[in-house]
Formats: sequence, C-alpha cells, structure tokens
Amino acid sequence: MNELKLKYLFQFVILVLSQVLILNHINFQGYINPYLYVAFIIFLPLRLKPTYVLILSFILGLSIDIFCDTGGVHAGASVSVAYLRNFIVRMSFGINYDLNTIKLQSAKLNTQLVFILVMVLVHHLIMFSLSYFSINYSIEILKNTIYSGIFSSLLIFIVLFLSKK
Amino acid sequence: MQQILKFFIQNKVGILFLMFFTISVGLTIQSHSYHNSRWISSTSYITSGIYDLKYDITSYFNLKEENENLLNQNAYLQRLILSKVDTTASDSINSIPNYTVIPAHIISNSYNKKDNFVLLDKGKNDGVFEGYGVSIPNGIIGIVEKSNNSFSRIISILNTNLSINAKLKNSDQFGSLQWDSKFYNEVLLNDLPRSANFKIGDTVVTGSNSLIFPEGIPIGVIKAFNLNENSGYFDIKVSLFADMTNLNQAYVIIPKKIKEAQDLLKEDE
Repeated sequence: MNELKLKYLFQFVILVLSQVLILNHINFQGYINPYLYVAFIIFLPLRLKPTYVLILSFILGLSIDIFCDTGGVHAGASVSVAYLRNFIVRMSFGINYDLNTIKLQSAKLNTQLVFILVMVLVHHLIMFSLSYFSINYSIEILKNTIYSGIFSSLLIFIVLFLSKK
Repeated sequence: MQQILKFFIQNKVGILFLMFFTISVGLTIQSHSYHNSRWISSTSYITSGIYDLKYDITSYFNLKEENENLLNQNAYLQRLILSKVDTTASDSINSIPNYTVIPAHIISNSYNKKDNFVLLDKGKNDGVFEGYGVSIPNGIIGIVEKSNNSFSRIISILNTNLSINAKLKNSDQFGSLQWDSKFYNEVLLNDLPRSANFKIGDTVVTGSNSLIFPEGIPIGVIKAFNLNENSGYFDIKVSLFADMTNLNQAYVIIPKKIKEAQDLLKEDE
C-alpha cells in the first residue's frame, strides 16, 4: 500500500509540473491546450473511497490554479468530475460490476474510451464555463471544450496505453 | 440530534463536494474582480520559484533571438540620439525625467485565457510596487497588480478587467483601451467621441490622462472602426505592435512623482 501511495504522489507531481511548465504553453491554433492532469483523477483506483477521491482532486485542481492564476476554476472542475466519477464508471462499465475487482487498465477498449472521453468532456465543460463565467461566451466555451477535450482525451489514452506495458 | 448526525454521515460525499465546489466558485469570483487582494496566486514562494527555475533553463534557448532584439533596440535609441530634431520636438521626451525605467525578465506569460497575467522577476526589493506600468520596446504589457519581495504579477493588457488611457498620435482625443478576449493581437479603443478625426492605419499611443504611463508610448495601429449611433462614440479595433505570445524582457516604468499626484487627487475627492 505504501508503494502505491508513493506511486500516486509521484504521478501527482509529474502531472502538475508537466501541465504548468509544458502543456499550458502548447497553444495549438492559438488557444487549444491539452489538460492532461485530469488523468490523475481517471487513473485513481476505482475502489478508492469517494471521499478520498474528492479531497485529492481538490488539492490537484487547486495546485494547478495557483500556478495559472485562475482562482478556483480547475479546482471546481476537478471536484465536480471526482464527484461524478462513480456515476460515470457505472455508465461506461455497465451496471454489473464489482468496484473491488475491475481495473481501468484491463477493461475493454471501448469501455476505456467512453470513460475517458466522458470524464474529460465533463471536466472541460465545467472548467471553461467557470473560467469565462458568462453566458455571452457560450460559443467559446463549447468550442474550447470540444477541441481541448479531443486533445486531452487523446493524450490520456496514449498515456494509458503506454502504462499498460 | 442523532438523526442529524446520521444524515451528515450518510451524505458526507455530497456535503464534502458542495463544500469544495463552493470554495472553488468563491475563489473564481474573487479572481474575476481586479482590485481584490487574493490569497491564491502565482506570486507565492513555491510557484514563482518553480517558474524562475524554468526561466533559468529555457532562457538559454533563445539567447540568439534576444541579442538580435537588443541590437535592434540599441539601433533605434542610437537613431534617436543622432536625430536631435526628434528629441527636442517630441513632447514625450519632456516627460521622461519624471520617470525612471528598470529592466526585468518575464518568467511566465499567458494569452489564451479571458484574464491573463504576466509574472516578472523583479519585486519590492528592486523598487517595483503595485500600480506601476510595464512596457516593452514596441508597446505596453500591463500594470503591476501585486508584488512581493522578488517577484511581481502584471495584469496583462490581454485581461478584460484592465482599461488603459490611450489617444491618437496625431490629435489629443483620448479613449480607453480594453480587451474583448477574442484575439491576442487585437484590443478595442472605446469612448472616442464622434468628432474625432482619424483613418485606418493611424497610430494609437498611451494618453496623458494617466499617472501610470508616460504620454506617447506606441501601442498599435487602427485596424477597423465603426460609429456606434446610440452612444455617439467610436468602436475602434487596434492591432497591437507587441507580439504578446513572445515576451522576454520588459521595462518597469517607475513614476517619480506618483505619490504627490495621488495626494493631490485625494484632496480633490
């Protein structure tokens, strides 16, 4: 268990640093950035208690916010997606599952895809809504959500694929 | 009592979520208003330390480009010295003794959000305080919003909360410069009255109605405009001279007499 904790701490630091130092400066087409740090919430063990998932996600989001000067945008999006995680798991894995036995890494390809895509899109939608914080920008919010969402999902999927081996 | 406790324990995930989410939204609202001092920011010790470390490493990659820029700037200053007619004729030179300028490096910059900030590696120890203007050789970047001992955060010109006094180079009519969060190379000049006389391609410079920037720093050129019939003011699109995506050095403009002027303004109120 201690080894596991160390692994997630390591993952946390790497994801936050790569997000703020590298990925926030990609600006593909001027404004599209991947938000890889969501992978931390996605990769947390599915059997982990929801309370812990919430607390960890809040700390994760707040760390990104401190670096980006965005107030609580990332923290809000992260806790929302952490809160909805169990629901999304049930949606993508089907009703007949046992939290203690399933693993994301060994799930079917389309299950993984749906899970990652839904998690990322929900996160991005809340994040961009909070950061624009105005109904006048709905088109920008949707546009950013979709483009950045595809970019992030692709990146997370690649990371998942590489970590399998 | 027991039932209340039971309710809390049963719904602890939901309650925890609501608590965290409220905190986040609170912080977000706070970050959308300009003059609030906030306690979550990139001028903190750890984050600015990490950005500084990154700058130390990555600054070596564009040394060549940097040298080129400095050379161009030197050439420009040389030209100013040589053409003495310019220096005596221009009003802006007369106002320069009221300001001192110190160089700084930009260690973090963003331009793709609605409210963008820039982080500088100079702080209170170097004489950089809140409210000072920051410029680059071909334009302005923004205004210092918060500074600690060795770093300061600039509220960028690409921030919807900032508005800067600006005027047309050829006349004295002034308006306020604001960003509409659409393009990182384009800002809006509002409140220019109907009587103003200008054309596309005219230069926009900083105005004289501000204590922050000296008058006459070039900002950009007029790209498009239309007259708002309801308000009687022009809506003007200005394309910036500065490339906000590629910033390395900046100059903090320290107004020497800002205190006296501020005291005078206060007396007025």
